[in-house]
Amino acid sequence: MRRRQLLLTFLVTLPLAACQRKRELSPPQIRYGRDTCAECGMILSDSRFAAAAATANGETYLFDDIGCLLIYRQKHQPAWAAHWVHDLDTQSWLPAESAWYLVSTNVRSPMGYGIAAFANQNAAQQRQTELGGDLLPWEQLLARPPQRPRHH
Amino acid sequence: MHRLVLAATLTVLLLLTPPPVHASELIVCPDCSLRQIQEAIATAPAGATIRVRGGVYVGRVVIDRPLTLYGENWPVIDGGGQGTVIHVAAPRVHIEGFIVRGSGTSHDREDTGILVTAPGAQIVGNQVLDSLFGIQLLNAPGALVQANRIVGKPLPEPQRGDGIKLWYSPGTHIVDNRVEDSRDVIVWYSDHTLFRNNVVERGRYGLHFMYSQESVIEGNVLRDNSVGIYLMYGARQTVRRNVFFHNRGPSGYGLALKETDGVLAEGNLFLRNRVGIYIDNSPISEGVTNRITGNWIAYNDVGLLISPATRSNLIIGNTLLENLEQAAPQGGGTLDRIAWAEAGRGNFWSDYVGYDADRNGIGDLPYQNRALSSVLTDRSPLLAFFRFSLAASALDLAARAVPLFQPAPRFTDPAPLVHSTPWPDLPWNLSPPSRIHALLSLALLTAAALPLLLILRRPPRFVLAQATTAPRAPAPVVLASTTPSVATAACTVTDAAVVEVRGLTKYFGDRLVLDHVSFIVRPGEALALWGPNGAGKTTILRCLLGRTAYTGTVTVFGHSPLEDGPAVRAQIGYVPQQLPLLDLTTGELLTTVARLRGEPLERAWERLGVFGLQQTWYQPVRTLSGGMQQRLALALATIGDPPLLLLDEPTANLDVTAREELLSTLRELRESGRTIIFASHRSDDIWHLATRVLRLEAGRIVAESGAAALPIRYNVHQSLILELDVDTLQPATHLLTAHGFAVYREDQRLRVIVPPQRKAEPFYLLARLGIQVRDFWLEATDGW
Repeated sequence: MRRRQLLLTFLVTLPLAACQRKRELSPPQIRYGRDTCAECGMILSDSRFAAAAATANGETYLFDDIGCLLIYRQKHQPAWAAHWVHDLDTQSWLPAESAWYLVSTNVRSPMGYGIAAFANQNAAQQRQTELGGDLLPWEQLLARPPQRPRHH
Repeated sequence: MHRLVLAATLTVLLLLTPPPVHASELIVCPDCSLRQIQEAIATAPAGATIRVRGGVYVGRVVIDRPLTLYGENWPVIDGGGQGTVIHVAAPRVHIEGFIVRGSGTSHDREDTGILVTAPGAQIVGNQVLDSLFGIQLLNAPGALVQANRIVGKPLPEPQRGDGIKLWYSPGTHIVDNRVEDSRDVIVWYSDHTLFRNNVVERGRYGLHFMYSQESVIEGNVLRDNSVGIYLMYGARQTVRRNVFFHNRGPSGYGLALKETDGVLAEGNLFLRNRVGIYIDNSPISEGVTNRITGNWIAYNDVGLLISPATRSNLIIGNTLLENLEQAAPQGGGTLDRIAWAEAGRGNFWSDYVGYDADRNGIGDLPYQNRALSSVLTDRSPLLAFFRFSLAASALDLAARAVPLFQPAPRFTDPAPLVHSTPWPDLPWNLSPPSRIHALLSLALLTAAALPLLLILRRPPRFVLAQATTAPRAPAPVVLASTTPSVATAACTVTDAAVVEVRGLTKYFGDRLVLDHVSFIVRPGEALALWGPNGAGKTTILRCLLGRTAYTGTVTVFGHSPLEDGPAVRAQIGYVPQQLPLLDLTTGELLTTVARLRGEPLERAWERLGVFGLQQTWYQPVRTLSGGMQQRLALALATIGDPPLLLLDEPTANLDVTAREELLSTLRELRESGRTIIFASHRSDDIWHLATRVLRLEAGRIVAESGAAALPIRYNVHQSLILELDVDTLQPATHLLTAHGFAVYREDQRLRVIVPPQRKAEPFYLLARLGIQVRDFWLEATDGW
């Protein structure tokens, strides 16, 4: 009897444990020159400005410009689980929430939104001195919807 | 007295008046008093002309006043791999006739060959090589960029810069340029741009307009890019008389419109792209229409791909010819919001199955696109795997037979044309690919290919005999054949000689082209016929094939090519200098030759794999690269495993990589025991392949030697042999090639052909990129 109870308990808890196991989200591997932006359809070539977002159910979207990521977030509102951007200097991934953003017309990003991300605030301030523009954390960047560089 | 006073006064006035100011002219050359361009600029008055004679000059050059710079005899301005090479910082500067090369590689600084930051520049007839960005206009309105050749830096595509980039430079004219292997030609925020008669190939986006308006794009050729032209977020662009050919990279659009208003696309040719025209949410503004008319959209995977929300597009008077999918909504849905006809005239659809009873040129039934398989594919894109399968065809047939299953049409052209529209006036001299023309051209091309096919042909009796015996062993060489066939029995060879030539003489009219040439070729030899153009090399090969009359004695496998040509040619694989440019696909050509030579198709298919060409099975031969065409010619020549290969200038017209690959394949054939006779004027072919060399000049053999003991001419170039780390061989090859050196890879080494005055330059170039030379030495080579 005891053995049966143990077996039953094991069989019931195993799937539950599996369901509750949190999926680790990690930045995607981009195939530069082949993958395209989910928002504008452009081929991703410049790792300095490439960005990505993942939904809670694990779907990942790639963007060639941080501005495209922001526009896509405005248009589509699933349960976003993670966002990543690249550090302009090191070109390594970093969580979007922890980055500093320089928004400047002198930053020439692939779609012209002029947004560059930095892991380090000092590095960002140094570039701000050089290029001008505003330095923002992630929350303020989200609160300030990106503008199309030029309307016709 | 008065006269004297007047004369004296005038004389004094003349002496005091300064001479009229003329724009002066300065000369810069390596032996002049002015040796550097920057030095000349510093001394030149505004408006002056500086003539720069041939030589290599150091960049960076900054032009800070209105000047004209003429290059004479292609002077080189070398940036040394650092920063921007030429910076035009003053208005109305004219630069013409230079080779500009060696920019840095920083995308942050956007290192550029020629950077212009002032209005009214004229950049004409230059070659911009090995530069991250080729020509860049930043806030430089009213420029002229004409007849330049721009070749991107030899980097992987995502790391390249743009061939031509405009940034807030309205009113610029970009005409007659050729841009190769760069990322994009891109126009940012620049209205009223004229882009005319340019060729852009092997880039990412052939031409990319961003936020620009009122521009004209006409008469250009966009080929082999990922996307031909991408118009984004602009308005009122005219796209006219362009050729979009084989743009099949990621995305693979010929012309793409994204959120663009008021486009006129007329009289263009879209041929063999993944998608002919892609329209995404264009136009975006209310009350605006895009007009797409008079285009030929032919043989693309998808002719028109349109996002379902798209509206206000007038698509009329186009010819949609044999696209795998003529028009499709992206991701499913319908294309009901597109206007497919105007004033009772729609488009020509090659798959239209209606009729025209009243002979007014308009089909009496509408053209409806409603294939069930396509609708299912729209819903589940993975089903595209089954497209064109028997199952999909059966499904469509069933849907037509039982209307109950018919899906609603995805779109309807109410007035389809029953004749194709006029062929547009294009920059390419092409004829329309109509069916009659296709048959005619097939016949003509077959006729053109006939000599090749005849050369590769086995005698019919042999084919029959072969068919009745066991399949031929895949062993490549049968010098002493035991196969019981008429031809091979007759052509059995011993170790004595494969080819014997005695006193071969040939006249063309009165001109003596071969003068008593004699030689013997034994089994397993690789004999090079080496000499300059016109020495008689090809004529010897033609004599061996029995394709031209001669005097003297020639025997191949003991038989005279003139008297017993078919039996001799059955033992020969011939590789011409260039394959006839056929409209046949690789598969069709291979199948034809395999049947003629009696080789099973499976074996021919395996052979194609050996030469790395299986993926080209459905590709027309004319669209293969030069290297692939030569490999295909070699694959065709080896069908049936002939023991003797004749090759006519096998590496002519090939780039370095393709040449290396071909020579490597030929070496393997030689090592497998085939006898090879090849004509070449390239000494590097000899090094790689020959076991014996006959030097020909003016139709006579002037020397004979082993390849290792080639006679040396005076005034020779030299070979610089460089030993490098393995991982640096590839970038070093690209770098040195980009700087004009002929570079050949030999295992772990590079052989660089260096002119007498440039022996040290490779070291300088490699050091600049941090590539370490482990060892080196010089060898003499021939100057041909």
